Amino acid sequence: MSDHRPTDLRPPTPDPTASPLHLRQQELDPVYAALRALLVWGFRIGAALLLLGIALSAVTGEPLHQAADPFRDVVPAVLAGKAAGVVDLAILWLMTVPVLAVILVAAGFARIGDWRYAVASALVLATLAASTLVTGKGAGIAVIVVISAVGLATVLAGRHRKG
Amino acid sequence: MDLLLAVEVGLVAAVAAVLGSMLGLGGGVFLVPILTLFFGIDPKLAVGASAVVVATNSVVGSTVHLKSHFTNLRLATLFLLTTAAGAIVGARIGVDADVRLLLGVFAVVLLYAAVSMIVKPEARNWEVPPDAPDPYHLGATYHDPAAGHEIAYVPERVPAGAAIGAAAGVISGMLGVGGGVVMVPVMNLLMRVPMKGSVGTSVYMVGMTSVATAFTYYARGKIDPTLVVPALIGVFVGGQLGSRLTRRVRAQRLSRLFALILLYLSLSLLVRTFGIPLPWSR
Repeated sequence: MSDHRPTDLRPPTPDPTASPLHLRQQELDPVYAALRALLVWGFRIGAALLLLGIALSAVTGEPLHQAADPFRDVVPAVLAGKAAGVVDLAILWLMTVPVLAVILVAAGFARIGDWRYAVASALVLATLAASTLVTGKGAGIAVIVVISAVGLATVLAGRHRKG
Repeated sequence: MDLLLAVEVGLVAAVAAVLGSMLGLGGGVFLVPILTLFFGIDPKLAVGASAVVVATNSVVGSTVHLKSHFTNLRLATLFLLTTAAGAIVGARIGVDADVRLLLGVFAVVLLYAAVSMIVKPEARNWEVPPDAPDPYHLGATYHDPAAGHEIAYVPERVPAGAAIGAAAGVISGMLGVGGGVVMVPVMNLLMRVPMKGSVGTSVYMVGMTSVATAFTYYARGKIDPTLVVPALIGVFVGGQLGSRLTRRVRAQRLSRLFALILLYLSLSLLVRTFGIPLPWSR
């Protein structure tokens, strides 16, 4: 395991005595470090926003809402200094951190030239995006299933080329 | 929600996280039924809160597994193609479903979890030669401090594992649970991924799967911040306590007791499914 800086996604210098599996794993060392840093700081920022919202609510006496504001209303509520808006932003941020992780992993796979898994990661993101953008129930599910099937085919088709 | 109820929800979430952390199940399996049965909270709001909590718990838990390289990022990415899609489909079914259907499915999942704890197959640490064929490039290595050497493995039966992942995703999306209770045995027993690799990969991917659920519930107005905030605080405190307790207590010895708790929750949910009010529920 190398001690790469979290922001440096370049693969480390390979060890000539290592096995092929180990070498392939070693290529991902910088991605592991960057991903860990992203999750640690993502959680810290989310926790800080949550505490800020709770403190604002306690100081101003503004109660939290029993339903989170729609996506488009969150930022205006934060800019207006509403405690409920800050808490909604914290919740949305904590929900977004895993999505950022998938983006980072996709970039990491692309950086080391592993296009099969870079494309698969991009299709995971497309699935998540489709879940929020395509609101029609039947159409939404159909789009998601197609994206998922294309992703699986991308990964599994490699078997025939290599085998 | 008044302050007293918020404190009670926080305490329940902490207990759910302690139990989940000691058993490696995640807090959602306990959180949703307890909130529904004992606090009279709308099951859909409980599922939405649980999905946010499970995603956050995964973010925190993954940092430990990533540091040790127990998480297999390629395998997690492959699984996410099916589990995330399954979770979105499950969430869209769950958010519009009759509450009794949700409670009934949850009762069956809890029953499965209880039985799998009583009849627990032995976890295996599969290893392969470092030059083993790896058609999907899913092989990985990590240093196991307990074994004192590097573990190398190549997952097998990948298409079957991915298909089961889709089903686990649907359940996860419907019920707001992580799905680790299904995915860890699938990876370890079916795909021959060593136990630490299975747990590390599962902890990472359940967060992404739960996010798919959480966004669907958020868009439908089923995320209640007065429920999510105390649950998040409780789960975080409980998760810390649980990980410390796990080092001191042999969780295996307690597994039968926990299985009884799961059985009790499962039967209570079944009773509620048939519309029979429970005397202690609010």
